[in-house]
Amino acid sequence: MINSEKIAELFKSVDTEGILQAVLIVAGAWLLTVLSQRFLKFLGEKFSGQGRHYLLASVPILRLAIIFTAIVLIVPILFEPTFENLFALLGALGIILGFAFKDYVSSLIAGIVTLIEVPYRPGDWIEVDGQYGEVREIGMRYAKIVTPDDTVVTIPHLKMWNGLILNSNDGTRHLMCVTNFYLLPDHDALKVKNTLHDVALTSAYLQLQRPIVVVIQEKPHGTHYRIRAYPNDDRDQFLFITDLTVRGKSALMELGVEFAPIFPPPVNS
Amino acid sequence: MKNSSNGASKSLWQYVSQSDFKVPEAALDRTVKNRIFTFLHILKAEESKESKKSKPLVSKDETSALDESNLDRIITPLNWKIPSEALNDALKNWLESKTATDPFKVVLGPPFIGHGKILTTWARSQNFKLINPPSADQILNQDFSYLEQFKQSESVWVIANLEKLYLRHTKGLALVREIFDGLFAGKMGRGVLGCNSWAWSYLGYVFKGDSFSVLIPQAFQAEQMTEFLTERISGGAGSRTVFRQMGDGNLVLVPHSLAKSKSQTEPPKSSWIKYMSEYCRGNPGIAIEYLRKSVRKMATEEESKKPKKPRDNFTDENALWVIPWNKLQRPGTPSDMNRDHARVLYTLLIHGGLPAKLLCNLLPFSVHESLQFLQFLQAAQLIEKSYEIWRVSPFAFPVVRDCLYAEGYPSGL
Repeated sequence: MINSEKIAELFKSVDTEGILQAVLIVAGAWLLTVLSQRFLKFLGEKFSGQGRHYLLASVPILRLAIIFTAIVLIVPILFEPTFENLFALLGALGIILGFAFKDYVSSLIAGIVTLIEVPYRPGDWIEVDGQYGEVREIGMRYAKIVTPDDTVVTIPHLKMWNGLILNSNDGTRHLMCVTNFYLLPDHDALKVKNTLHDVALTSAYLQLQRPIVVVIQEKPHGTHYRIRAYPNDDRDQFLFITDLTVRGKSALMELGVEFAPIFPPPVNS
Repeated sequence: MKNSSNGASKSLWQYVSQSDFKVPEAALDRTVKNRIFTFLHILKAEESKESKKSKPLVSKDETSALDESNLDRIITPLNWKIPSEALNDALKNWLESKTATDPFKVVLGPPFIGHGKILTTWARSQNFKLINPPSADQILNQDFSYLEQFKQSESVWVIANLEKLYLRHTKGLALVREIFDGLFAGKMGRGVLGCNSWAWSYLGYVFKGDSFSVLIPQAFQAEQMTEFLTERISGGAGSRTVFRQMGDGNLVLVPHSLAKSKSQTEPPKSSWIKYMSEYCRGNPGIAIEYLRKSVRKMATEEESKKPKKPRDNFTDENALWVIPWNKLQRPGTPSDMNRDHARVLYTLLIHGGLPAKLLCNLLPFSVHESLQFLQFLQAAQLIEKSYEIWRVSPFAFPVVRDCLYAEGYPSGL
């Protein structure tokens, strides 16, 4: 049973000076968080390669560290941190949070677990519930991704508990891109494969150190070619796919290969 | 004297395998300082001004720049015969062997070391057939009639610049692939191919799995660089002129003719040469460029618009003054440079320079965009144009190299 008088007594010891100190610590922590986030993101835009991903991944960790430090500094100011007081306080908090803010707290805890297990981090390209985009911000409760159409999608960390999270680059600059071509089956497959390989090899966006693979599959409507290759920078993935598509089509047309028409699915009568 | 000088000169040039290639290593503090310089340049922050603890012996205001024709007279160009003789020594066993298993040899060179001129000079001295590169149209049209000249050659043939035999284009690799297929099949006779190291690094991904033994001129350490630059100043109009550092007056270079009078039994151990060698990675072609950019003469009263102050020191000598290394304004990557600019730089490096029209053909940008990128990079002094060919400027090459490495491009030497 929680002693409500005991809880009230916790706050009696707080004076004006203590409140002022706590407010200053909160303000300082907020300012430090905002400045460090902006500065690290600014640096992340200036640099390329793997270093950029490390910089961006450090943003939420630094935020958590600042918040934790602020809490550690504030608690002794506002409360007598005795075992009895803490027990009473946590008990009260538990009831409030358990009923009123169940999902919110769940997301908060998931946010902390996210920083430890790192299923995604700033700079990663992830897909959650059909939404694909670059992780721009990891807050305490949510992650914000920006889709290729420049739409900001806010995803509660809660999704992590029982949803699938597809991560295309997982903290690295290596993000595989797939470019598809559909051709009528009557052609020299080896010639087409070699041509498409060279299309990728000669792309200005290509990351040379990663392999290029051309996958060929026969489908009912034609032959499906897939170029699997990596752009030098994950932010250029769409330009890379565009470049491969444009130059691939041009090269295939010069070979005299015909593209397979893709018919829309039949409408039910 | 001349023979022994040539002998000493030739010993500077040693051709080694890729695994034995070693650049001068900078001390950790200088590496950190260079990184800080690059970082500050990206952030567009001002460089910290060194506190003036003591009055410099000669300040930059008291000096004036030398014009290009004077620089050409004072700092003489390299006699390509000397490195070509060193190359001949390195290839001697292979040339004389009748049982050699390699039908060809590859000789690499970092940009601006002059590997093309070295091989051309060597080929002419040995009466070997020098094969000129094909035109861009021949490469893109996959004109294999170009290969006939290899088959017709009875002696060793030489390609001085392999980087001119391909283009990074879907149709631009067939010709160079055909050449190497023919070489491995023994259909092309015996040959020596020279190549820019950045182009070779790219071609390594084209010929994936194939292994080649290559030769590279060893990078110059500080001692060799001092000797090399001393030779450059000893033969020309500056043969009676010492090179001193502006701030402290320390000797940087002493021409051979003045070595005795300066009691210099050994060349001076100049920190300027040491730092410059490390920064240029022991590349003599770039070192010459840095010396040319750093050297200044005492200004006349008319030039400085100040009365000439009598000097207490070094009054009995002709001296040219070298800007101290930490005061030398080196190019940096502008803060608004982006990945597309880096793409242009990389394309220029792997082809050893390109005309604008061909460059536009190899990049995924419109002609207008490509030209804008070229103008931006030229304004940043990272590239230059010579006879309609755009190339990375030798003075900017170290910073361009670092920039492309940071962007994740496979770098050459």
